[in-house]
Amino acid sequence: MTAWLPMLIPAIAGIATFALGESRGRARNAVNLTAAAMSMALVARLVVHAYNGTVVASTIPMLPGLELGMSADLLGLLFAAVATVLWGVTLVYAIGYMDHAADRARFFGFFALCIAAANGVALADDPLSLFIFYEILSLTTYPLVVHTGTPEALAAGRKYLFYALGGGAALLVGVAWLATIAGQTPFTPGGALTTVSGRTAELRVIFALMVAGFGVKAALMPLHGWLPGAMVAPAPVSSLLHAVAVVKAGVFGIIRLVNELYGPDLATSLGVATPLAILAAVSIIVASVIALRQDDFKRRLAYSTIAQLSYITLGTALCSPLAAAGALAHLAHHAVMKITMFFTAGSVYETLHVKKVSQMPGLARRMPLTMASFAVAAFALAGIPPLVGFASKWMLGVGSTQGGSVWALLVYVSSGALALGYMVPILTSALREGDHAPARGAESDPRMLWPIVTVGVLTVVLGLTAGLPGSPVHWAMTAIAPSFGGWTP
Amino acid sequence: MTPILPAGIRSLTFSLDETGTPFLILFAFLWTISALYAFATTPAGERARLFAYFVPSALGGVTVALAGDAISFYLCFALMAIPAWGLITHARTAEARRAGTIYLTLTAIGEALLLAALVIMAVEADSLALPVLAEAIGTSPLRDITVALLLASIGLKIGTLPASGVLPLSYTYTPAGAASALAGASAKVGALAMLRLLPAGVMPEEWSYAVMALGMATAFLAAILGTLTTTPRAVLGYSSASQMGLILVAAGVSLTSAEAAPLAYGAIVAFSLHHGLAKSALVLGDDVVSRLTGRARTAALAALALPALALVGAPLTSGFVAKYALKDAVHALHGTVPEAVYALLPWTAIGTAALMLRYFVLTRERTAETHVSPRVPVALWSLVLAAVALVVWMWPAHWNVHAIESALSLSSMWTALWPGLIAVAGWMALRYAPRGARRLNGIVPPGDVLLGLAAAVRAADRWLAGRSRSGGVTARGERADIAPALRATERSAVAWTAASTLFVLLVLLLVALSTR
Repeated sequence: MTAWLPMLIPAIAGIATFALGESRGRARNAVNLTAAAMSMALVARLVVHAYNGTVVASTIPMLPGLELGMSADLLGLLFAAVATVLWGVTLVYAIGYMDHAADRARFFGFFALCIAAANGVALADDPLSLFIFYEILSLTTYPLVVHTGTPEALAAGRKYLFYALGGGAALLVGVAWLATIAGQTPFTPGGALTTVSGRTAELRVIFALMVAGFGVKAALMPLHGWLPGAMVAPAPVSSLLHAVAVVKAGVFGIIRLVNELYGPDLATSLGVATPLAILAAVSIIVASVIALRQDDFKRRLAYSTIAQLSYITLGTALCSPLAAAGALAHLAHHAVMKITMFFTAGSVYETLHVKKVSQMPGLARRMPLTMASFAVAAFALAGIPPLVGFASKWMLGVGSTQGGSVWALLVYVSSGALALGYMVPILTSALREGDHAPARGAESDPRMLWPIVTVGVLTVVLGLTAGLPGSPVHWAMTAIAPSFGGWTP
Repeated sequence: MTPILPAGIRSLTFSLDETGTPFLILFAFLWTISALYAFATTPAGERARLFAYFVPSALGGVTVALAGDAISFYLCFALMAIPAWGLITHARTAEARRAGTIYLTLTAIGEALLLAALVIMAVEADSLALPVLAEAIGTSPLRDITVALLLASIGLKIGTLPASGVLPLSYTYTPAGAASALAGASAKVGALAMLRLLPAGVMPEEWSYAVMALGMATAFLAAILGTLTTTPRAVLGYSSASQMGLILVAAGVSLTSAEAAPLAYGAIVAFSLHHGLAKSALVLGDDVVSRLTGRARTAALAALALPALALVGAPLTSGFVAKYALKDAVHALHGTVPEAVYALLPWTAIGTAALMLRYFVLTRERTAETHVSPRVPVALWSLVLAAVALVVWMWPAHWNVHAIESALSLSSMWTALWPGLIAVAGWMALRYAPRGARRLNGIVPPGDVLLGLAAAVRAADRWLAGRSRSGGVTARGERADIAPALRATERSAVAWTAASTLFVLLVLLLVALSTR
């Protein structure tokens, strides 16, 4: 039963939030924060178990011959930990950000449900369970995207829903088709399709369907169209859902698909890994170049997200152990860096109504701590050591080279240069002298400021400790190793 | 665990070795002098803004000599190069900003190339330690691409053609103190990278010849660009690019011949010390002169002759030693190309001498700004001048022995003198040149082709922006057409019932599928 709790606790918190209604704000905050703390403690315990080799798992029969399974393995727990920890931080931020907003019960309720769904995706034990939570995630995010109710938000929401449901349909067909030829296929490191022989054409089509399904949330070009639009959502939504939970559910699905459903060997021998890698590489470069030209702060971050998600997809598709581990580590690292940036975008909008890079002159003096945290995250994203982004980029690069794909290394380093290209203008714009007078008193609501500083500091700390036991890097290597039977870092 | 995985802060190692020592001393000296100079000459209100960038840059610029592994080397390289943007743009003018943008773009590209090379080297060596890296890459199948990446990265740092403009861009608008560090120390990190990373004696001869030819081309062309540019600082920038071209020639020697490599390394160190100190003295000198009047100004202008003559390689100057070391290294190679390079080397001094004359004329024209007491700047400058005069001669190393032996021989003196005399004669002759030739004066803006490139990128960007804006209008038009009824449907879809209905439908679908 314990394996279900990371999903159930936020779900219960969400339902309780709905039940409490709009007016009881304090109780709502207390319920959500308590649930976040409990989830974190729980995930921490499961991680300790998993590190010691005990994987807590549980299945419940849904229908005859059809079971829903949850399994707290290291791979899934990494994603669950990212979602849970950042949920806690984002809650504090959101309470500050949504201070004067309407419909907060709906907002926080769906927020918690999203985390429940993300944790479900993380710990799902087989393709079908994963699919179910994946769909729940789409549906529970929609109300958050359209939260403000403006025509723009509704248009973005509709787009999101079309993409998400379309992707979901593709995934469903893939999952169902696979079930008919392979039966129950719980995720197994190194591949779960050992019983299938021949049928290569079918397996290729199924792989493509599933990649299409996951690719929507992973914003793999050309399936990325919904992401920049969905940035109209309130900042905490963009932060947590579009930098952490939703998009990471997509890339996490691809990680499971390549490493634990097909397995690196089968994916390579079927010839499906290389096309995926090329698609991801193209996404990285194209999205980075588009990001260079965005004046809207959140849109620029959105395109950067598309590029960075494809780092993960590319690393996974290379089917080389260190690249796969780097990809998984980057899932955590990118979450921390990007949430810092989206928090910043939200905070400068909420405090000064600055939405565009060109409106930023003077910002560095007006909101020094906020912009300093942003700067740290920006340099981390560009892969400057010893910040967190460098560790994953180094692993991805080394993994590419070891796997014989020097071209992928060149993609990674060019994307690092492009990241400097689209991040530094934000900083230089903020550093110019401009209209915003230096702050008197607090630079912004402390409930927004301190979460930003916290995640900003985290990008430094995780960078300095990268590779030590318990760090995402070490964790990722431990979690990926079984998929490459016998590989030790 | 292989040692090339991230291991947190533990993977950063710093140690002082034989290669690093001269660079550490040079970098520490120059960054300290320039810090003091910048502190003394920057108005109190602007110090915080300058030093917010200066301190990290100096930190990276000095510790890079101590970096013992690939990651700390890359870290120091980045730590020095990226904040230097703040030094270049300190003046907050449009030109300074443009220079900063071009500088940062090239830096980002250079960093990316370096990182790619380091990753490949680390994988091939299965180690991060710098001495192991260069050795391992020599026998790797990825040798050629790695060396190409390294050379491209180093080339961007030291202003090799076609990127020679990066050095004048990064000196011209920077405050004098900071500029002296960029001029003296920053580009020398490229020289350090040559010693640390380029494999010795393993490349085919063609590689070596191509690199030597590129170095010579840079040495000549940058000198021509420099004589036609506008400000003293820009002249110095092109002169740096030209001199760094000579360092590249030495690197070319080391690539192909293991026997000549120690000589080439000696030449690189000699050139770095000599050029770092002399160029720093010239950058400060131009600022010192502008702070003085009367006899003191005349004396300062006269003192400029010391670093200027050193760059030309006149007898008994540090440049004489450096050029001697370089000639020895090139002489150790046999073949048409090295022999041609050997024959052409003295001729590069004509270009340098022309640059120095141009610099001198431009500096003399500078109007005096005497609002800050010149005492501290003059004192600091004298220190650098003393270092220019002495350090290279007194350095305990193998590369100056030969030069010291032949320092007083008439033939070597003549070899060192005639290029300068030709330049002076040419300068004299210029007075009688037709007016058309004189109009060439100042036609090269600092940054040359890079400015054009940047303008082209901006134009392309504007063109794209114009296109997407017209596209945006139609998109907005379409949105306006959406009937309000649809919008109302959207709003109701927000209601939770819609979400839960969809969810139930989905579950039903699943059930139908699974019981098939």
